[in-house]
Amino acid sequence: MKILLIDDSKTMRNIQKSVLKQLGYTEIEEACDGQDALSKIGAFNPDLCLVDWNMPIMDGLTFVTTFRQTNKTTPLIMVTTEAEKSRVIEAIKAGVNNYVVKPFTPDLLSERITETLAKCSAGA
Amino acid sequence: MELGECDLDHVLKLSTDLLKLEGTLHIEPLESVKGLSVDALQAYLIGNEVRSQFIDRDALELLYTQVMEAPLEHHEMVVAQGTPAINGDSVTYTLTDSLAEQIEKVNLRKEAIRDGTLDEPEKVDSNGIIIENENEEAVSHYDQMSFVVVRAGDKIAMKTEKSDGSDGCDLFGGTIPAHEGKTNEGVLDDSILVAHDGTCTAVVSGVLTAVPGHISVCADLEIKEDVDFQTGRIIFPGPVTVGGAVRDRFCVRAEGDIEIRGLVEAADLESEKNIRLTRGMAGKETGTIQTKMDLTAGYLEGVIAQIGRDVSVKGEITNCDIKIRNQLNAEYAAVRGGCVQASMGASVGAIGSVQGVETDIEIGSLPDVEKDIRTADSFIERLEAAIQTKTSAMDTYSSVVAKPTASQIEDMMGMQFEIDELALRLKQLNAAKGQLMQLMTKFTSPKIHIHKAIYAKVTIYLPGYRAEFPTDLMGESTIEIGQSGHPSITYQGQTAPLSQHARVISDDRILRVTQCEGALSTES
Repeated sequence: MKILLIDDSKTMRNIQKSVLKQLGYTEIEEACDGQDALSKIGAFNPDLCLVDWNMPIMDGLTFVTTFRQTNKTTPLIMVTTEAEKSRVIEAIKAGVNNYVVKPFTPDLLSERITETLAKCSAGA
Repeated sequence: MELGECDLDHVLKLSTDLLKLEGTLHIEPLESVKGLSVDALQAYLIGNEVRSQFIDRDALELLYTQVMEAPLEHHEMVVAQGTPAINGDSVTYTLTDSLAEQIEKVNLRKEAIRDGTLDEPEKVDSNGIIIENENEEAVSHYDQMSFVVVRAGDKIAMKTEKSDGSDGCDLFGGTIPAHEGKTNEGVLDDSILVAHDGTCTAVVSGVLTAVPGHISVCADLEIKEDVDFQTGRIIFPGPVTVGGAVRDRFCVRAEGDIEIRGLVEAADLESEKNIRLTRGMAGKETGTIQTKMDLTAGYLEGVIAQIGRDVSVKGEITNCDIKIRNQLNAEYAAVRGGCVQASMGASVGAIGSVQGVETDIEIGSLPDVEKDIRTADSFIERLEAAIQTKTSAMDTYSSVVAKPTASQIEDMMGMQFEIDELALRLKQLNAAKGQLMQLMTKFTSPKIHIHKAIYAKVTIYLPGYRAEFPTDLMGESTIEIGQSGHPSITYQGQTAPLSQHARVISDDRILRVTQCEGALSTES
């Protein structure tokens, strides 16, 4: 399972990476914004992406919209401090499969990842 | 035959060697040479059944010329030669270049020793240090070995198979049979395996013997005499027995047991198994012993030793620095001077001497594990302090932020993450420390039995304590950490706190592991 972490904060990426390693995922790639992620996606070909919303150069929502134009299946989880209902709806409309609000606990993140992967594999 | 012609049958005679490989034609003095020719000579040979292909026409011509020049003389010449048989080659074993070179060196060394032409051994100063030889080409005799050692699996030699040879043919067409090469089966024994391609490999590790007609590897090394400049150092992959002594500065290092029947001087002994010193060792404070299993010795004096299991000594242990992983068994021996450390307890005749020699005994220590526990304690202390600092910083940060921004939320998550990571490491470290403490309790026994006396100026170290004996304590006694957790002594049938007979002081030289509500902890 290959997972791409897209967040401008290295600390946040480290937190997510730590949770993923505890879940047994070791093939992890990192990107610091949406544009960086798009440049890496072709070569890395992830099975799951965790995306922050607020990032410089290209934000998470723009990334999701752009990515979904060519890829409808790879699961995307938005991991963000944007907790308003309208923002959640906006993200889901753009194409994310799940939503995690910061601050999150390692348990919550692992639960959402497991849930998302299960749903996507059932739908495939 | 015409009148005047010579009668060849009467004047010619053919003789051969035993194998009939060489035919010599003899010609008697002739009154007339009429009728004599090279063809006539050849015809005579053929008439005597000599195969034409073996007749040497040039020789016949030469013989004919000689006869014509001096017909009245006797002539003879080898005029026919058969084909000799070529015997087959026997099986041969050729040592590898490296081994051949080593054996040559060893042989040269032996010759030099026998002839008394070996270089002067290095001089050693009063501290036992070799004085540098100004000659750069000089060799260290302490580093030489007088035999060649191979390991199981090493290539020893290449076998060349025997050949059949080819038959010969005598002058008359008879076959001369060739002898087949010998198999030389007795050259190698079971210690060497020959592969299909002729590679000869050692089956066991040991000393290589390679003399004409015999190549073998012996897994045991027995040196009947002393280990000195004649034998050089001993480094051997199996058991070693030395019939004589081991001289100053030489070493005996073996992967098997070591047994030395003579006196060991300030030498170095090292074994992966047991060491047995029938007489003992006078190490002059520099001789060392290292063994992974047991040491048995007549006596030990001025020795530095590290023993993997038990030590048994019959005589005295004087001025030694010995670390014993299991037990010291020296019921009839006195430990005088130096420091003896035994993890699993000891039984000794006496400690110290009437003259009041300072003697340290450490019972119930496991230095390597203790070192690791102390290191773990130091890390635990630092981790706990770091967690406390970061927790306070986070509490302060969150208390001043009423409604955190996205960036502040991420900062706080980062802080919590760091605290969680440190807490995880702390948990792992505590678990590791717990295992080390279990090792300490399992592999140590803080108990010593003294059969005769503890003399003044003896210090016995126990976990968490040291007991100093200002005066002699004569008679049998047992000292241990009692159930109360404090040092006790059983003396003259009475068990009492050790402080009744010695000055008992808290001391962290040996780490004290205690059990408190089922959990182990350390006390300094």
